[in-house]
Amino acid sequence: MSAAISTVIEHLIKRRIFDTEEEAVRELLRDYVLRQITALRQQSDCFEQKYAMRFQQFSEYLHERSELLERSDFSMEQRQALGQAVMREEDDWLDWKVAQEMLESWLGLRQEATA
Amino acid sequence: MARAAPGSYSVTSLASLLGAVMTILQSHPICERAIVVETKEYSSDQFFCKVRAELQEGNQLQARIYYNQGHIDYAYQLFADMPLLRWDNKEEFHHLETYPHHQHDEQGNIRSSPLASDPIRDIQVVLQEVSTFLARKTKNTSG
Repeated sequence: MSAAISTVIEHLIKRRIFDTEEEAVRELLRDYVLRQITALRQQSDCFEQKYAMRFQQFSEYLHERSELLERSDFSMEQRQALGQAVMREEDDWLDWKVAQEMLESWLGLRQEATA
Repeated sequence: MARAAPGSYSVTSLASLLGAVMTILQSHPICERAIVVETKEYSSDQFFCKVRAELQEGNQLQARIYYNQGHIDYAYQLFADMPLLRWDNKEEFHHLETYPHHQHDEQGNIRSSPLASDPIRDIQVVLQEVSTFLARKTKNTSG
């Protein structure tokens, strides 16, 4: 371990929060990764509650909504309302997709780091 | 997801992308203020940013850019109290020649889009189109 890292961790060792430098680094890494996972899970859960469905279902639902927009048998008002709703939903879709994929990445790192 | 067009701006990190996008927004005449709303970063190969620019008369432009191992998902949306214009590359509307790049307008119509998953070029195209849209809107309101 580098001298700079040892100096930082020394404060935790001195107070017997951790027994060794290695234990300290492992715990701090575990905690950091867990915080990322928790935040992304919360975001994903919020979308699940908002739409009462999983991401995959939401993708299918949004695909159907997009197909509806291609139809020509709508009044101007109906098309406008659907178009605006789809714009809002597509924003949520991208935020949700990012949360899902980032979550998978952090879960992978957690597995890698604890192996 | 669409792969960035060959010869386009090379995304090297979240910081460089964010710096370039913010510089363009802050120096554009229609932008009064630009802020970073959110960033997420797993690695230099996977990151996301959301930025928002305040424009004239309560209009706002929000950009979402998600870079994942060479692929970019993007969405640029102009809105006031409701969405007005949007450009994105969600894989819908296969009939368009610019698929997956498309544009939504405030009437609910979907059109081809000149964007190409090149954030630096795309944001400039969007700002130009937004300027034209807002100028026309102002003219219609005052006329």
